Amino acid sequence: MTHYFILTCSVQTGELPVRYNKDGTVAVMSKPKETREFNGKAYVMEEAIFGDYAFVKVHKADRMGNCQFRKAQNNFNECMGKNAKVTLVEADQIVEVGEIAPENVHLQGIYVTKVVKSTEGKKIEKLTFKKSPEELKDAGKFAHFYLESV
Amino acid sequence: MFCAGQLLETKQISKMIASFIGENKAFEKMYITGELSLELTPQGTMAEKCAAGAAGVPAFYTPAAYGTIGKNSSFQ
Repeated sequence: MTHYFILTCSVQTGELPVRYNKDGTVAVMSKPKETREFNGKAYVMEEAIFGDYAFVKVHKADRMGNCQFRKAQNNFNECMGKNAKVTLVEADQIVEVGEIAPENVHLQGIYVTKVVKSTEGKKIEKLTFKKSPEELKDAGKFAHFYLESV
Repeated sequence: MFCAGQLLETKQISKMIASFIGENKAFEKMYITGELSLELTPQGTMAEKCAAGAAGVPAFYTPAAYGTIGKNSSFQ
């Protein structure tokens, strides 16, 4: 059983400890979630997150705060940038207004509070290397084992 | 230590909403010793919670996380 499985199964009934005491007893348990049926299928009600501050990393930003993402930056960056009251953008490049074509603006300047130029290089926590075709063949060898053990 | 890890080490985070916390030792220690609140949320639900907030929608329904095995689990 995976972490994810336990997680998705026990979130709804509110039986996860949110916070512990110092002695290891549970201080706060999660609250059960409201459920409702639509078209014969059961659903859980989830409340939205309303953020105060968002830290967003972008590839390019112009002086009005219009931002363009690159590759994996298209993750939660856009919705968090639009979500928070104050959005602080760290940009790899700051360009003049108009240099980012309108259709390439992913986060509009109206959502952005401040833009700073990135001074640190991109750091990667875990490095991995491209695998050779032989290694890739080996990688599939144990797939049946994992499937059986789940 | 990267990203939120830096804020964790300086004890600037009191509550975290996350889907996966498996690899961060500092996080685990703080959670177990009661220095940190944790709200576990399925990944897709978390994405939608952010997007809903961005669009000004206060709540939504999702089939993820419905049903339970938690009642008799020893997860605590």
